[in-house]
Amino acid sequence: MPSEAYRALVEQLFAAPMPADIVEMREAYRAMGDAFPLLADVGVTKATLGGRPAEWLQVAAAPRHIVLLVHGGGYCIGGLDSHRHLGGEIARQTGSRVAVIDYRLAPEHPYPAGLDDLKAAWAELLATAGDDKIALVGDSAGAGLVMALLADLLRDEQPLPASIYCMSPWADLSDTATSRTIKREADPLASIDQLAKMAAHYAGDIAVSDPRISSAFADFRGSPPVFIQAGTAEVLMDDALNLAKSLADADVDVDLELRAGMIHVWPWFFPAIPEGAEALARACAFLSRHFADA
Amino acid sequence: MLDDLQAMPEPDLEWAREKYKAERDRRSGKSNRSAYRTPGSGIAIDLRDTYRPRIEREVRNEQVDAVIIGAGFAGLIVAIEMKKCGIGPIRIIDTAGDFGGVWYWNRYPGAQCDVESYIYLPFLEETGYIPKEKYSHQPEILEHAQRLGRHFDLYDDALFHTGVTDVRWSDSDRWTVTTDRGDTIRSNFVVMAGGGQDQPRLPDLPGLDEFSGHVFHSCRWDYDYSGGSHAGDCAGLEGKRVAVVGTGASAVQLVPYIARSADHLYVLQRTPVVVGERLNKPTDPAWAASLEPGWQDRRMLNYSTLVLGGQQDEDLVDDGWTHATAELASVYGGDKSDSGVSADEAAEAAERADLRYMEKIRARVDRVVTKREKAALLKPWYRYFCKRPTFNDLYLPAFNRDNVELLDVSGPAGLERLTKAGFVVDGAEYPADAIIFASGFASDLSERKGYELTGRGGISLRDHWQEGARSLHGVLVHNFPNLFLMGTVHVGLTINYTEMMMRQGRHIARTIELLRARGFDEIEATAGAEDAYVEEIVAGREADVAFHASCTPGYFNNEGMPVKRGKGLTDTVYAGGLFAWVAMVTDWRETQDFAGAELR
Ligand SMILES: Cc1cc2nc3c(=O)[nH]c(=O)nc-3n(C[C@H](O)[C@H](O)[C@H](O)COP(=O)(O)OP(=O)(O)OC[C@H]3O[C@@H](n4cnc5c(N)ncnc54)[C@H](O)[C@@H]3O)c2cc1C
Repeated sequence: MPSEAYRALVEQLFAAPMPADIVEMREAYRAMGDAFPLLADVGVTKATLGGRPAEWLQVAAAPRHIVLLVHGGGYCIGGLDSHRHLGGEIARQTGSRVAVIDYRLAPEHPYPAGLDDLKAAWAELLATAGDDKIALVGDSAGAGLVMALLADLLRDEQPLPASIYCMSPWADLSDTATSRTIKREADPLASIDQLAKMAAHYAGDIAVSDPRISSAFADFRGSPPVFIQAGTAEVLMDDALNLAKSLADADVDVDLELRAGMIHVWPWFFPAIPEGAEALARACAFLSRHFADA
Repeated sequence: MLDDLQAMPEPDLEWAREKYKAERDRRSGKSNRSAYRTPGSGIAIDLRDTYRPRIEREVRNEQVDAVIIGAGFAGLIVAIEMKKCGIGPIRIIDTAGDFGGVWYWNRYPGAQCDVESYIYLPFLEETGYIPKEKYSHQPEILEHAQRLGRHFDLYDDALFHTGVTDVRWSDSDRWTVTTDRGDTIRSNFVVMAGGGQDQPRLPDLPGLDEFSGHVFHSCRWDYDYSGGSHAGDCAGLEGKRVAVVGTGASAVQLVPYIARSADHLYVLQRTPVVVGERLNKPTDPAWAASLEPGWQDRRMLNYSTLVLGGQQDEDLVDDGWTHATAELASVYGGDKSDSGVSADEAAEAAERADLRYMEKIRARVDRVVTKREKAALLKPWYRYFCKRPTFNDLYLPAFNRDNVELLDVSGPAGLERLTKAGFVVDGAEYPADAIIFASGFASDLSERKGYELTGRGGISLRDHWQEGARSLHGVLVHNFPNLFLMGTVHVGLTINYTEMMMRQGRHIARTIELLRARGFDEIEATAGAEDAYVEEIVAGREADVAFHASCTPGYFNNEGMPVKRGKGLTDTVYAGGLFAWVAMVTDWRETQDFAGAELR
């Protein structure tokens, strides 16, 4: 049974869908994230990472390990403001330092700009992490980017993250998965038309099904453990399944959590809904466990 | 347990400095930062004694040897020491209706000493009393003050429900003390033992007179209104919405008790307090029976040595204070190791140790308080000794109750005003039936005495202290012959207040005894000796003043506002700690012939 708060949230999202214009959408998303107040114990430090604006979110004064949080938003929207609350909570629950980066967005900056920013940030973190391990976390398009980075690291035999946590990954930018149509009525957040537009903005000249764009189909042999969450009320549900299958095909430890009736990236709404808080707690436990592993 | 947290990685000093600074800055420079006023400035709070009826008595017109102003532990101790030295007759005067001082006035539910009762309650061996618990509650402490009064036969010497209004020197009559009962008492000596925590401090709030509900301060608990007793069960609060303003030592103790009775409890917090573990327990009779003569002195000495950063083979008290001070460089002075590290290295090591300890304090909040919003707000972000730390095992869990609401008043508007029906925080009005101020006490030296003190040549102490406290050793004052100060100004400190009073009381009594043995009747600090001592104090405190300037606003740093050199609470303390101070005054008295004092 979904909670009262969850039902109210879904109702509200259906009643007030996101604006269609990218610029307006950016502002709406920023405001939604901003509406979740940052708790009093979270310290926010401005920084640059990989040449891009970034923020460190930290609760522990004696932190251990690092999380690189790559925000979602269809490769076109989102930023530091939309994900501060999420980063702060991951910092609290894992005792780590969480970096959020403001990577370049499409359509102004199509592939590979955002991914390049992410790679540069990763390289800088790696160079300065010392004994700290680094985990990668992304939601939606952020998870797609994280998996694209991971595929490149594996291909180039680079040092790897301790673990990866994907919330409702958007990792298949082609329009063919059946969840796109089956879940259409149930999903209050992602519309097919909007997804197609954003995919085109990001892919630029490359085919949307190219694994560099649709990382669900990349080769993940040798990957560290991955935790994937998706809800059954999302048109992007199949991305999680396809990603999990690619990982399993490559003999990777993958935890796939599918929750009935949950919407796209519901853990992002954790301050408002118990389902989100519980999902995020499970994910943080996963991250902590793999930080602790030798 | 605080200590079995998993091993902690290296603290992130840079980050913590930033975070602490952000927390301080957020609370400084706001409209109500220093917005505290003491009663007398038109506030409708009744400070009269409602605990005990006033008994009519004859007006006193008499000559005594010593007048002691204040019948708290300081007054009791110096009276007892004087009696032991054959000094008398004495008069002990207090506005309260009995002995006890703060323990007479502070009767709020849950009131308890935070230093172990076996060392906090003085003269346990002489009176043969063993406290019932490791940390006594107020009724037992008040009873012990009464026990001291009876045991040392002090009741006949005491004038209760009597406020000293004027104290004046004349070269012919020495001191004349006048009271609000019309008494005129002439005396050779006067001891100021009025304490430092007798004037409640209230936020300077508009609308305090408009509020139609009930208002009182924690140091005048209104049991007629709340019902119940020190042990709680405040039936009068049932069905009521109650607000507690402040989250200092008093609030920490009373919140858990009234949370159980009030329908809804708001706790208004400006700055979260450090809450360490208490682990109170009943006294083990076998342990009590095993105590050897001299045990209390040894225990006090052991404790103060440890909390001042010294070494002992054993930690007899073994509690939150000794554990904290063992891990932290004590700010109370005392042993400073000279192990070859530079001052900067030592300071950084101290900062790291502090940060690790504070992380444990914050981790405890996360572990105990289940609601994450509340937990986040309850975490203190400053160095351990920025504020008086507290120890309590009931306070944090109280926030897990649904009827307890934590309101953050550290924002720009904060607690703005009271209204007819309640109070306003950051623009939102909250209905309340009662507002209880647990907002502490006025700490301004010049504001809290309640009487004029006039010395030789008509100079008042207020004027003499215009630029900050002036004294020799925190005991004698130039132009104020035969006046003795007790308290925390210019003296060496320890955590246990009554131990300081024991040392000061003995010093004062012995000074008078020696003075007389040498054939003199008057003693007064010379101007030169006083100047030199003030310089020594101010110079010795510079590090501490800098330390406190980095803290969130509070009474230790004058609410974060700049103070004149030598005037703040923290730069008026002898830097060496209690034992160095005792060694200094003992030497001065016993072997240096009262150097710097004029004897007549
Ligand atoms: C609630 C509370 C809990 C505390 N717990 C501890 C603790 O656990 N450990 C610790 O070390 N310290 C504690 N303290 C600090 C405490 O102040 C000292 O421990 C000690 O009891 C103070 O004793 P005192 O005699 O110096 O002052 P007080 O106890 O304040 O006594 C001074 C007396 O002087 C009277 N007086 C003042 N002016 C006049 C006047 N003009 N005329 C007549 N009488 C006057 C006052 O009415 C008062 O009764 C606590 C303080 C408070 C308020």
